[in-house]
Amino acid sequence: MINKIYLNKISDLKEHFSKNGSLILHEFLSEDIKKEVLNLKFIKEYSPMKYSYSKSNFKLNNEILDFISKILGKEINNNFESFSFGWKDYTILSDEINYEYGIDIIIDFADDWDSNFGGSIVYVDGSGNYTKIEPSSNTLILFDKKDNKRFIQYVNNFAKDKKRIFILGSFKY
Amino acid sequence: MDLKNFLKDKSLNEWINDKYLDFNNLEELRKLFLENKPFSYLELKDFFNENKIIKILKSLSKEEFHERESDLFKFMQTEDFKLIKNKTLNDFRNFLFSNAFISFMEYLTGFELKNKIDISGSLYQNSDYLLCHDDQLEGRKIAYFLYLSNMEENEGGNLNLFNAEFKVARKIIPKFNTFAFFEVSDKSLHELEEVIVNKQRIAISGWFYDQ
Repeated sequence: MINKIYLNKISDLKEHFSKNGSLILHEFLSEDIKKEVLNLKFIKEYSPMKYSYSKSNFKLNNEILDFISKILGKEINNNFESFSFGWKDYTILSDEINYEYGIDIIIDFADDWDSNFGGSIVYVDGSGNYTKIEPSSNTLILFDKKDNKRFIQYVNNFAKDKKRIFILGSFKY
Repeated sequence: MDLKNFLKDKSLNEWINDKYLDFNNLEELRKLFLENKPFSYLELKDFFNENKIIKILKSLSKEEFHERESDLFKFMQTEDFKLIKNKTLNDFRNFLFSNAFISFMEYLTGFELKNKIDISGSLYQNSDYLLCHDDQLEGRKIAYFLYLSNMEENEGGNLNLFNAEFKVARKIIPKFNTFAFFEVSDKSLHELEEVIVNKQRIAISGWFYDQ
């Protein structure tokens, strides 16, 4: 399931995350998981001042959970959701949302996606600094949010009928 | 000041189309502003005298537009006109917050306004947008827009006004020399639809204040 290159380097990856607060692993999974995620039934959720996207519940298998837990050095629960962002989808930072700080775990399946389409995951610290994570196919992203807030950039008409699909779990320290 | 005399004000006549300085027309517009749904707004076509607007557009096209991007928007914008040295744009700003025009707006809306405005030029191109929000910020009472380009409905760039059920209840399509404005409140949910063609949507916009 997980690319063997990474399975043999868990201690190095753990050290990298601990030092940098982020980790990006390309070509992370085998094709079968990807097919499973792309075939999920997504349900549209829309609240114009906060978000527009489609969502589905998703459980990661134990191999992936264990792998991530070892890198983070703590056990994580299987509380993940799968999101699909197409044209006109977005999330907006809102005073009504209670942002929990901690670590974001993202498995990105954004196939054939150009950054000009929008849909990037953006972390902002409230003082003008930001970290933008461009969509990338079959990639694991671990990101320590610290006191950053997250939004998903609006997906524009250049995306046409393409969907930006990713799995997301957010965990407190 | 007596309204009929006030409508003879030199600067109003210099800037505004005669039909909007007709007492009976203004009475109708005043009622319309209050009655319009989903919240108080007006859309005034061919509002300014065209020779003035053409000069403004020419002046604006020489100004520098800066990229603006956040979770809520992506577009280009000039500095506030108070920081711009162009005489035509300064004259326009001075007119908008002159006693005469503020009184004109007060009459149409029924609000008491301060002689304070924000004003800048905006440029939306293919894929630019402004997502749903209410514009509320301390003192903002009226949001206004002067459209300087023509868009078709299916090209995007429309100003959508939402009702309490979060549905688009009114669509204002940008047309050259249309002056539109609405009351800013917790009900004034609106968005600027993404521009989806290779056209430039140019406008001047800002707010009138009551504090």
